[in-house]
Amino acid sequence: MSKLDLSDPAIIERLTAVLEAAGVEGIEITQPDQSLLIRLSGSANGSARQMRSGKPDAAGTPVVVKAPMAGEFWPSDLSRTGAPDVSAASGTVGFLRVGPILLPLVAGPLKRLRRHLAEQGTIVGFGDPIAEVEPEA
Amino acid sequence: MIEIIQTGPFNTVQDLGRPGFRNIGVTTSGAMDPLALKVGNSLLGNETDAAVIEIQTYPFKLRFTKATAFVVTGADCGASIDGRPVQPWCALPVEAGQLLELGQPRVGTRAYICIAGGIDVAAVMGSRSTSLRGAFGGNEGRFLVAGDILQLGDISASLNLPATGIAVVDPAYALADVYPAPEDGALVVRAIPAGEHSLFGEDAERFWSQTWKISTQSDRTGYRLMGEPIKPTTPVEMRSHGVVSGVVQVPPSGEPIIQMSDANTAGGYPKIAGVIEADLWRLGQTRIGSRLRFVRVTHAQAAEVEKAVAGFIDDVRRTSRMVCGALQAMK
Repeated sequence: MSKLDLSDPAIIERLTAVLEAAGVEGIEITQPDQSLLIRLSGSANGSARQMRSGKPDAAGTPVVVKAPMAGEFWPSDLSRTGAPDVSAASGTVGFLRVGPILLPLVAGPLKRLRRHLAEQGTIVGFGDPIAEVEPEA
Repeated sequence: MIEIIQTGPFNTVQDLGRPGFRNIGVTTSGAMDPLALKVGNSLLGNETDAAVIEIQTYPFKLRFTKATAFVVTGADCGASIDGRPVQPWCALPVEAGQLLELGQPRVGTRAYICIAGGIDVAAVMGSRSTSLRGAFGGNEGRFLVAGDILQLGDISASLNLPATGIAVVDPAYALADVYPAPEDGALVVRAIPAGEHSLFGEDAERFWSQTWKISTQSDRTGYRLMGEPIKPTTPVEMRSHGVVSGVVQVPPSGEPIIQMSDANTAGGYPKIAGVIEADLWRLGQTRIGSRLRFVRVTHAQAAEVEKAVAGFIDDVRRTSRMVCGALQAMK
């Protein structure tokens, strides 16, 4: 049996059509080197589609952490200077500050910060690159 | 539910206290750092006055027995979940079975464990706060012990917290324009002259000018201060009268006492000043042995500080909801 290419738009389209026909809300397929998530939600104009597909990084290849929303980039919690910074230990590579709220940006499991790609205090938007992370040694 | 796994003495369930019963000898109780409680609850989408656990002796461990969300505010005590460090003042979702541990404080003295829905103990006289002196309220009117099981309340408008959590900037940083920095290592505490201030003559000025040290005879009831004694110009015999937290009394020894959350309901010592309400949380986080200095302010200035603090708490509630909503929409 041949393996599906989950990044192929034609396959995603066919899967989506099958889900709609079957009345299924979504599907998540994970292969060793690819994953695909399709969610359908009903709306007045038919089904809204939400898709996410991707390939995991090859071993040792840096991965870019992107901003999940707009905010001011802080490489660490700059508001707390009286105690040890636990960012690295908790896997946090930085924060987005939105008013009084800090949104932690996390490297991901078994990853560590390689370098920051945004300057401290920069206003970043959704999807802007924040940091490069690499697998832990 | 949560289960207390390890605790020292004097760790209790607290909310914002039970005002309105001092006339029948019931002290207000409530969190020593109400700002930490309000911010923690706001971050989780709880009612502002939901009951939390006040930790003042360490180490402390609890296990969550159902999936929920929590935040540790107040003192930075190196909190961890299943051994993984947690950012200070960071609200996080947790799964059933996860273990929350708090170590010795690195900054501050009292930590507040706020949990989505609040700690659901029975309200007594409108409050879930523990009154240790009265042995009522909170969890059976006593401090927590290992093995205690606490129920959690329902939350009407819970936030969809991201797995990475959301934190809040240090209030001392966010409100730096409102709270004066320490002077020569001494905490600056703002106060308003009280009823018997004028009875102390020139000694009243020394009350404001000298640095006081918080003695070891300090607890949730009051902080006894050490320094050069101040005395009334003539001996004062007063009838007992009502006392509230923040009142600074001067006993015959001449070393002032600041009434705190478990303040006596009445007292006969002359009152030299009243600490403004918005500064009490800073005292609640100040260690025994620390030094402090009083600075005189007006009622109008006190009201301005209160307004700024209330604005910060509102901002936390509004922005945390907005951030969680935006992240959900971007998924």
